[in-house]
Amino acid sequence: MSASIIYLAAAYAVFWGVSFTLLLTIWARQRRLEREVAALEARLERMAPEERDRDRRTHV
Amino acid sequence: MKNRREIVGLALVLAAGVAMLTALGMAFLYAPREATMGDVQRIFYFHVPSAWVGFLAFFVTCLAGVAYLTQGRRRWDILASSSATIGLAFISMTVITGALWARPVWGTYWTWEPRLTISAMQLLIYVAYGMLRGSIDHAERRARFAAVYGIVAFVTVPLSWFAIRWWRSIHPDILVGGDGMGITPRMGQTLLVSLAAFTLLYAALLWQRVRLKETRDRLDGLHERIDRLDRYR
Repeated sequence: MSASIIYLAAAYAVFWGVSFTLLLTIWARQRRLEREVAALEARLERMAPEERDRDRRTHV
Repeated sequence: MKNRREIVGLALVLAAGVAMLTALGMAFLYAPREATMGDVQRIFYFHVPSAWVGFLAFFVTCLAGVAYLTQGRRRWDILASSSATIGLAFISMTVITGALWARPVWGTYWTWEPRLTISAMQLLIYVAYGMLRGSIDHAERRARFAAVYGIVAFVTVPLSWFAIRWWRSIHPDILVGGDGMGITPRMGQTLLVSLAAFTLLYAALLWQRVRLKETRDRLDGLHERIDRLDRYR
């Protein structure tokens, strides 16, 4: 394998590595945040109705 | 609504994936071997589109900054910061792939010629953009400062583009050719497909990144509501 092929392979590896890492990181964070949102929404649902009514009145 | 946005996001990722694989195939199987540099010249098909996406992303950051300053809507700030993050990643890839291409062709990974110097400055300027955002707690002030910074920082894009025309540079100009950089029709077609594929990849990443920030905002809103209810108890 000539030296220039190693540079070519390294350049493409950098590109695909960074792109996949970027995409997977965004996806993993999105999943985690969606789980947290679902948990908080469920917690709000479990709260007593009068508290939720008060929250609706005060929530902007 | 949520499902529709998920489907659009997924469709963009799939389209970008197919386009990227097509560009990869063309770079290795369709484009001819360059006579002077040999196979290492194939870095060109990912190096130039990476730079294009970096420039495009910084342009979107600049435009979104102008929109935020005139309209004051949070979504423009989200778009600006999401685009800047992606632009930074692609400019970093441009610099790294450029260095890996320069080593066998110029005999060195790095030389302080105009375009490379401006690229290094641009990289640092957009790293500082992220640091600026991270250093301001007040959301509106952060968005306003970042918008102004994003508009001013965009000056690095035309500066980088024209650097090889304004100053003596060993960096080849792909539009007019130059030292060992003549482009055949097949090379041109491969470059165009690569540019389209990278633009799709940018759109897919931007869509996901904006959704991520919107979900973060929603989560912060829910935290505030629960904290408020806890205080009433």
